[in-house]
Amino acid sequence: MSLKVSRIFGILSAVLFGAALAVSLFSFLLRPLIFRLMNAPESLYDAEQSYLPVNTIVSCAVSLLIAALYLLLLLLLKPSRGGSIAIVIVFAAVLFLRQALLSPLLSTAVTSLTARWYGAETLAAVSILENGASFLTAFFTVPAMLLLLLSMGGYWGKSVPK
Amino acid sequence: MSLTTVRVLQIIAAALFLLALLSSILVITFQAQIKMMYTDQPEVIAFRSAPIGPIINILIRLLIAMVYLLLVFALKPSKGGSIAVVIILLSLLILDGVLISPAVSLLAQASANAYGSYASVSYSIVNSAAGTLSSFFTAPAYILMVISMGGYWGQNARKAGFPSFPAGSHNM
Repeated sequence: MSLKVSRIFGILSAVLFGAALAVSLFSFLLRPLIFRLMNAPESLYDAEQSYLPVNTIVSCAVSLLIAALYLLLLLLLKPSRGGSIAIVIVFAAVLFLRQALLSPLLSTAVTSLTARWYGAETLAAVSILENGASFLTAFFTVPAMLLLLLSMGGYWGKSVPK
Repeated sequence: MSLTTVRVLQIIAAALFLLALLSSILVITFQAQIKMMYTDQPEVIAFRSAPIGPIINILIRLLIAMVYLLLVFALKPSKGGSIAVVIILLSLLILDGVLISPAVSLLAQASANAYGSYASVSYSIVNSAAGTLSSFFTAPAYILMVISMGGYWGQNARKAGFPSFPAGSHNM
């Protein structure tokens, strides 16, 4: 993959993550639709009034931040072969940390705090709303993440003449 | 990225997807203990749920990873050929991530909801636990697989004369 293709993929990825963040922020407007779509029990309808899909919003925001940082380095730096490999390894490690540790920890914290503070009914309502929001944002986050990782794979081992 | 690096990354990715599948199956066995961490309602703890969403999600990705692994080892692609392989597999990953897995997840959650709020809560907890546990393996696996695809993009194995797998099979 040429550096030009790698850069184009990086830019597209950041744009898609931005769109995903916008969708997740406004997904609360679609609560009634999500609850009807998910066949939520009637008893859960009252529990969701004050809830936002925090996990999905934070996840999209963090992804956008990582993509923007990577894009900045990709556009501004003129790395050596080792330098580009190091950048890819660092960003792959950050993405791994985000997906394997930060997101699950945040999800577990939200789940247990919601269950403890508001009860099991609200937990189920929250879970339904999160599922609905992540379903909506997946249209942007999935291709965005794939493009970001593809761009990293193409960037690996590239040296740019100074 | 060299073709050897591409292949090594993909072998690790496939192995990690297998571990993820095993870990999500483990959650079914230990679900009572897991539920006790979230709730003290005996009805929820007694309800048996399976994390269908995460299991199917991992299975699909494992299948894609195995197909890609086979292609990476068996093919000696031209520049255009390797780009085509990556685009086809990426389309499958997008289809899985955008439509198949979320649809399975929604259907599984909706079916659990149809059994009432205890089943809904039970499924939510088991689903969350399986997702958390398996993500320790699926996250690096997914990252390695797609980075490997990025490295594979535009490879011209014919020009490089890189041996196909198994090495030396053409002489047999």
